[in-house]
Amino acid sequence: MSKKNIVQLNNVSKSYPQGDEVVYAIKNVSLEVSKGDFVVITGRSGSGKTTMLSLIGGLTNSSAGICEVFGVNLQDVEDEKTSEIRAKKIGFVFQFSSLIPTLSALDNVKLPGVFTKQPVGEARAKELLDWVGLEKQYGRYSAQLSGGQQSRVSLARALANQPELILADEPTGNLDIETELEMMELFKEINKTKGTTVLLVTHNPELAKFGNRHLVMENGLISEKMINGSPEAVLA
Amino acid sequence: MDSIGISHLVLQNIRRKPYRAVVIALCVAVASGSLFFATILLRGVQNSLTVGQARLGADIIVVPEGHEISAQEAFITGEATSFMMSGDVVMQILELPSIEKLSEQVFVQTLTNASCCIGEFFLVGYNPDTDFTISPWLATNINNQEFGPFDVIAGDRILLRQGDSVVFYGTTFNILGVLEKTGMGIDRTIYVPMEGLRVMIEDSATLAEKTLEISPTEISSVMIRVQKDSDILDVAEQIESKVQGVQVFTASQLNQAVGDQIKGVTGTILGITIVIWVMSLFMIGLIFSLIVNERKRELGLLRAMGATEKFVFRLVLSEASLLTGLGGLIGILTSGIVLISFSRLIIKRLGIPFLSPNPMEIILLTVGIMILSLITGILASLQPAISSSRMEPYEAVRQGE
Repeated sequence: MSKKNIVQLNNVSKSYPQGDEVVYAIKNVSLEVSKGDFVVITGRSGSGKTTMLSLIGGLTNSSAGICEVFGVNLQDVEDEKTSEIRAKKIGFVFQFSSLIPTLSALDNVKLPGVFTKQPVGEARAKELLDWVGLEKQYGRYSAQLSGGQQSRVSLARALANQPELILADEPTGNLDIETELEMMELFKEINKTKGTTVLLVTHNPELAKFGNRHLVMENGLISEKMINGSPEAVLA
Repeated sequence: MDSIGISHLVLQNIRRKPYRAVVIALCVAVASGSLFFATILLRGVQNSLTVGQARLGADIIVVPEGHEISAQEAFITGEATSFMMSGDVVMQILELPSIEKLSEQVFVQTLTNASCCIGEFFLVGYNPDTDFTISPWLATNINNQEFGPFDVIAGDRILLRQGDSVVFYGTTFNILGVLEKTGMGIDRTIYVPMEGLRVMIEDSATLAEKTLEISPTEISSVMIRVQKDSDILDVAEQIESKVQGVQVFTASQLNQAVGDQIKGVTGTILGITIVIWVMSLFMIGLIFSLIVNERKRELGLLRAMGATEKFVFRLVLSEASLLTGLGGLIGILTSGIVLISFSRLIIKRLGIPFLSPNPMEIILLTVGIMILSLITGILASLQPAISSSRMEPYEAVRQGE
């Protein structure tokens, strides 16, 4: 693994038994993601995008291959280590409301601090909410926020522990076009200003322009498209 | 609040479904309250019997045939009674072997309209020359001071204090001292020296509203202490076979009678408690299985944020044990309030002796039941906690999408 690579997948597969057959969500995928990359992964539903993101985030285990994140082979370590990596180095943003409904927007942003034992203070949480444009929504609960606002809180929360890697799974999937573009601008800003690596999964190929790399997934296989219209490079 | 922790998450989860939380807490409250109630009742009876038996000091009590039950009731609850037999039985018993001490007593009921007190009380005439039940108490508490035939000792529940005067059947008596509380019939008994009692009986014809028809040679009971190493039951059998017209019961039979009386009540309460507890265990387990199932996505999100399996496990267990612990506390407090408020009524209805356990015993019982309540929560939610902590975060997060 190259020093600047923070994600490296080597022939990674994820399969599920379905009756007598084995179904592959992703098959023999190899991928390298360097620090500072903004990778947009597109593909149709069921193409394996979310599964790959979950493998990188240690939310599920691969069936075969090596999945190294921040130099750690996630298959070789216990839950404590994987959780520590997630808590300190990775921020997740999901498509549907990923807020804890019993907590206010402010408390949702503070929540990741519980898992790093370095509390996210009120000032920091407010600063993040301000940054995503929710200055006056600190005390609101998810039921009192619109879909776009919930996504913004999720993004603010993902940034609470100053992660090196953001894994975003269809973060704009249920938003209107205007809000979608605003959210994508925020991701771009994080990537540009803080150098945070972003891996963003979407079914909308139009959003690929926000990243510096565009990967396409189809039937569990991945290929890379050069951003400036260069020929397609098949990675796996 | 500047930062949040597991306790904040637990409290917010409980607030989310308050009715469900109340149901869980109530289940344990009923179980813990019943257990507290039954245990205090049982311990109260045991305490009372221990203290009462020590005060009684007799191994065997001899009464006229057919009066065993009313005599036992008089000793247990202080239910006033009066029955007589010939004083000759004393000499007959003395002829038997293995008798260490023996003292006769005469039982008299006071009149309902006696000037001191409301209700009937139990007057026991004792012989200061032979007595071994009240005399040891007099020796320690009255410092062997001289006392006359009209100086009496009152039980704790008689509303009289040292130095008071009281008139029974027209005869005035002075209260020499008040016995410590035993919870038994002794508390409602007045011990009168035999000489004073005989005077009262004789004078009742002229001074009282009702004449006492008790012959000077008649007695009600004989208290017996057997020699060490003698078999109490053997001696009791000997008395019954050798002395005509008497019935005998031992102090342990007295305990047995109370034990049988209380066993039914406490047994029922304890049985119900166990059933409620087992049902609560399964019900809380079921509720928590539903809870973790409906919160699967949230728990998955927590895992995505970096929560370890242990954290999720602790989160579920903490919520369950907090609710059951709270339920336990509510149950104990409610039961305590009921016991304090209605203890006299309960004791009267059940016809049992009762001497409240000491504070340390109550504290230990409270701590014990609280621990049991917490363990209930932990046991009930163990399986849901294990399954939720072990579920794959990826699958959990995708729930509800």
